[in-house]
Amino acid sequence: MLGAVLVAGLAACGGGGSTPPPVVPPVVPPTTFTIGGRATAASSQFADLDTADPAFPNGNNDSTAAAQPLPSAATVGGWASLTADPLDYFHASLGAGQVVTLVIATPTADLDLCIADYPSGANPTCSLNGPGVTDQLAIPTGGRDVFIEVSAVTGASNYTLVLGQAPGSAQGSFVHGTRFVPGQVLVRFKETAISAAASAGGPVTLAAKAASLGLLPLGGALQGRSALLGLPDDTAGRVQALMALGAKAATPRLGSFPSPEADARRETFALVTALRAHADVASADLNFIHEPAMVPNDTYYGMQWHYPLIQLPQAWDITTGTPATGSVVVAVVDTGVVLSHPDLAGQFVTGYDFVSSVAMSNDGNGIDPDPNDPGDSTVGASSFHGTHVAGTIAALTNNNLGVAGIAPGARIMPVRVLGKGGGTSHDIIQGLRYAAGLSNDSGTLPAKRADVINLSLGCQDCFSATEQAEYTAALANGSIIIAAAGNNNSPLLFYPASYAGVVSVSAVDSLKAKAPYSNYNASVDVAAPGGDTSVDLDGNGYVDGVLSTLVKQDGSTPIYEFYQGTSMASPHMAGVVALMKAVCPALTAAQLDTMISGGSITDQLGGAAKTNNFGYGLINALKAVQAAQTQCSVAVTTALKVDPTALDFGNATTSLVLTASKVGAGALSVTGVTDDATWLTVTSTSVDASGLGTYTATVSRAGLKDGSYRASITFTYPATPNPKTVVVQVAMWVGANAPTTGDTGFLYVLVLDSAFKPVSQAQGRGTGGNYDFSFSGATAGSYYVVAGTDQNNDGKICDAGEACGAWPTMGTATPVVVTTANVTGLNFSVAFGTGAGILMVGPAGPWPEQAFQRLDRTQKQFGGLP
Amino acid sequence: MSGLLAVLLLSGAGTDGCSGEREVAVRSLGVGAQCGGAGAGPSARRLVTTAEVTAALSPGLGAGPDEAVVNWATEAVLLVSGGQRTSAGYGVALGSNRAQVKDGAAGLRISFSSPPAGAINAQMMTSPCLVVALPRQGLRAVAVLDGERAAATVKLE
Repeated sequence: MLGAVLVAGLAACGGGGSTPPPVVPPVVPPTTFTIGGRATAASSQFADLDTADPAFPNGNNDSTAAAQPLPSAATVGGWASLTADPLDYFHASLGAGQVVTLVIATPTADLDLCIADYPSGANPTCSLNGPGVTDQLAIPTGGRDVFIEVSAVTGASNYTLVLGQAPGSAQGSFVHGTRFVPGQVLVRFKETAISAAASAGGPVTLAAKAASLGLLPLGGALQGRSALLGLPDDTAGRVQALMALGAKAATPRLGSFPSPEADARRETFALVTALRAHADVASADLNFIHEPAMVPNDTYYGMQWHYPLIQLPQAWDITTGTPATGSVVVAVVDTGVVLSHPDLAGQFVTGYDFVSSVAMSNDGNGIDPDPNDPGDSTVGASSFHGTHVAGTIAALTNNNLGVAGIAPGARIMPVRVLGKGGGTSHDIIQGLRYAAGLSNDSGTLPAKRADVINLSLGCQDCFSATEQAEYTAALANGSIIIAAAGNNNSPLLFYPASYAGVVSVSAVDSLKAKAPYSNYNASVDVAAPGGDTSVDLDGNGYVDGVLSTLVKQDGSTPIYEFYQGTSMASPHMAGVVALMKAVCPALTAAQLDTMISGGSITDQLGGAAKTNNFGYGLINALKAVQAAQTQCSVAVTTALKVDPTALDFGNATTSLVLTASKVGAGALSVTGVTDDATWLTVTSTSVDASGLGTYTATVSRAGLKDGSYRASITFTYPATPNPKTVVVQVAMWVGANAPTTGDTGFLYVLVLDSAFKPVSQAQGRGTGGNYDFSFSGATAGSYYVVAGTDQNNDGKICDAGEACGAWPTMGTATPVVVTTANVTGLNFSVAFGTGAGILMVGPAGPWPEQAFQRLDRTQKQFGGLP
Repeated sequence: MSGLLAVLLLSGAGTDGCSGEREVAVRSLGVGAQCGGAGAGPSARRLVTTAEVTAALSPGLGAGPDEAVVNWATEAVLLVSGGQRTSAGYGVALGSNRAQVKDGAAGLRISFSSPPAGAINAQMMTSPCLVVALPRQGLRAVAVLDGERAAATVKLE
C-alpha cells in the first residue's frame, strides 16, 4: 500500500546509537515523491443524495417534499433499493422535447420512472419497463416543471438518470402530460400469431381474444386493423387482468402520487407495457385523446366532417395559411364567385371574367374584369359552384359565422371561365394563363400569380395536346395545379386532371370509401373528401355532403349548402397545398409530386400504395404541412430568435445575457420585452433600432426565501394576423441547497501500482465538484490514478451506474511515471456512465477487478497528507 | 329532353265530369340545383305539405326558408326532377305557364336542359328540380311533358 509505504519510508529517516561526531550531513537526494492533482466532476453531473455508501453523508430525497433539485440538463448517479431506499425524488424544470432516461445498472433489479407535475404531483406519467430495461419519458411541447420519481420494484441497483436533449430517442416512450383514455389501449395483434392460434382452436374473434387476456373488447378487429381493448370496470377484474398479463401496477403502489386518477393512469401504462411484451401483440399504445388547439367557432363547423377526416384541425395548430410575408394566392378557376358573401369578405385578390361568349356569360358581355358569379343556369337553378369551392379553400374561419375554410389565411383569386351551360377550352386556358401570370386575352396580369390553381371542372376523354402545353406552361411559371378527377364513376381519363403535372383528385365519402360518382383511373394522384349527399351516416339530420358557402337562387342571399363531387374534393387538396405553401413558400409542383408519390402526405387507402380509386391515398393535412416544413428546412420565414432559450441562474449568478436576432430576410422589430417576476429585470444592453441585439437579465434574491423560483421573459414582435412572442424560461434558486456545478458525491481516488494493485486512497465529498488529491512518499516507479464512486457500497468503484474517471482519461491506461521529482497536475474529469461499467485497458488487456477495489476508509481525506 | 320515350297516359278522362279541354295557369314556386333526388332520369312527384315545399326549395343553412305560398285547398304542387347529373349545367324549368287539360289530365310543359355538347363543366353532382303549383280542381293526373313526350306522370287522386 502506497500510503503505508510512504509513511514507513518517512519513519525510516530516524536511527539510533552513540552520539555521533558532528559532521555535515551529506546531501541525500529524496527517494520519495508526491503524486497530486485534481479530479473534477464533469459538468452537469450530480449525485443522488442517498446511496448505499455509508461514507456519503446521506441527504434525504425520499419524498416530494424533499425532492432533490436538478438543473434542466443533468446526469445523476444514484442507487435505489426496495428494502433500503425505495424512492428517490428529484425536481427539475424541463424544456420541450427533453427526455428523462433511467438506466438500470443491475440487470436483475427493477426500477421504474415516473414524472408528475410540480408542485401538485398531478398527472403522473410512468415508464414501467421490467428488470434491467431502460425507462424513458418525454416532455411535451411547452416544457414542464416536474417531479421525477425513481422507485425500486425489485432488488437494488445503481442507476443513472439523464435529463437530456434527445427527442429522437424518445420514440415509443410516453410523453408526460399526454391525455388518454384511462383503462383503454389500442392493440394490433400479430397476424401470424392470430392465424396460428385460430388453426389450433384458439380465439378467432376479438371478443374471444380479449376475454383470453382478461380484457374487454371495445372496438376494432382482431385482424387487419387495430383493436380497442379495455380493463374491466371492477377493481378485482382489473387486478386479475393486470396480474395475468404480468403487469406490475397490480401490486400495491409506492410513491407520492396517490389518487384514483393517478392509479388509473398508472394501470394503463402498465397494461400497455405488459401488452407490448405479449407474444401475440405487434404493438400496443395508449388511446390518446386528440385535441387540436384550434376548434373554430364557425356556426356550422360541427357539420364539416370533411375537415377532421384529413386531420385538418391538427394542421391548423401549425398554420392556417398565412405565411411570414405576403399571402398564399389560390386561383379558383370556375363559375366566378359571389364576392359579397360575408363569409368570404376580404378574402379576394383581383380576378377576371374570361367567359367570352355573350350568350354564355349571363352578364351581358364578353370577357371583363368582373369575376362575380351571375349564375350559370340556362334554365332552372344556378349552381354558384365557384362560391362553394372558394369557401372550402378560404372561407373566413373562427369568425362566429357559417363555415370554416381550409386555409383562411390564403387569398382567393376568382377567375370566371364557366357560364351558362359550362365553359370552353379557350376560355379556361385564358383563365389558367391569367392565374399563372402568363399573357392572356385580357391584356392584364395579376399583381401576383397564383401559388395554387384549382380547377373543379373538366370533361371526360377529351385530351388536347394544345391544352397540355398550356398546363405545362403554367406549371413552368411556378403555379401548382389541382383538378377534379371527374364524376362519371368511370375509368376513362378526365381532363384537365389527367394532364401531366396536374394533381388529379378523386373523392371519398365520410367513411373514406370511394364516393359513388368518383372517377377511377391511373392518373388519380390523391383522394379528398367529396361527400355523399344520399346518406346521413353521422345521423346529424343533414346529408353527408361537403358544406361550404353559397347563395340562394337570387344570387345574393348568403347561405351554406352541402354539395358533393370531385369538385368538392379538389379544393380540399388546393387548400391543403395552400397551407403547405404558407410554411414552405418555395414548394414546387415537382416537390409536391414527390411527396405525393412517396406517400408522405397521404393516408394509404385501398390496401396498396397507389390505386386507381384513391391515387396515393387520402390527403392528410397534418402530414402535408409537416412535410412542407421539412422540405423548407432552411429558415425562410422571418422570425425572432433569442439565445439562449432558457436561463438558469443557479443560486449564485445574478446576471445573464440574452441575444435577440432574426432569422429570414424580412424586416423585424422587437416591440416589447417583458418579464413576469419582481425579482427579475431585463434591460437592453446593446440593441439596434429594431431592438435586435443583447439584453441583460438580472435577478435579485434579496428578501426571498430559500427555494426555487421560475419566471419567463417574453419578447414580442409584429406578425400577421397577431403579434408573435418568444418566451425565455428563467430558473433561479435561493439558498445553499441549489444545484450549482457538477458534483459526483462521495468520491474515491485510488493510486495503483504498475500491477494495477491499489496502494493508496483518498476519499471525500470534494468542494464545488473538485476533488484535490496529493499522495506523498511515492518511490520511483509507475503508477496509475483512477477515481470513482461506490453508490452500492460493494467495495468497488466504477461499477455500472457509478461515477468513474482516470488520469489522463478513460480508456487506454497511461502510467504516472515517478523518477526523481514530484508529479503533480494530474487533472482529469469524473462522470457517471450509462454503460455496463467502465473498461480500462492496459498493456496486457483490461484492468483486473482489483484495480477498482477501494481501500479502507481510514485512508486520507482529500486535501491532506497521509 | 331528347331520348325519352313518349308515353302519355291520360286514363279515365271524361268519366267524372272532367271531360273537355281547357287550360289552367301553372306557376313556378322555385327551382333548385340539388333538390331532385338521386334518380337516374326525369321524374315527378306530388308535394302535399308546406314543409315539403320548403325543404325542396330551401335546403341550405344560414338563411330563412323561401316561403312558397300555396293554397292547399285549391292547388296541387308537383316537384319535377331532372335526375341526378354528374356536373353542373343541367336545369329544369317551366316550359309554359299554361297547361292543357283534357279529360282530367293536365299536360305540364317542362324544359329540361343539358350542357352544350363539348362544354366543360363544373364537377359537382347535381339534381335539378322545379316545384310548380296548378289548380287541382277537376284534375286526376298531371303529365310532365318534355316537348311532346311525357317524361313522367303524377296521379292526383
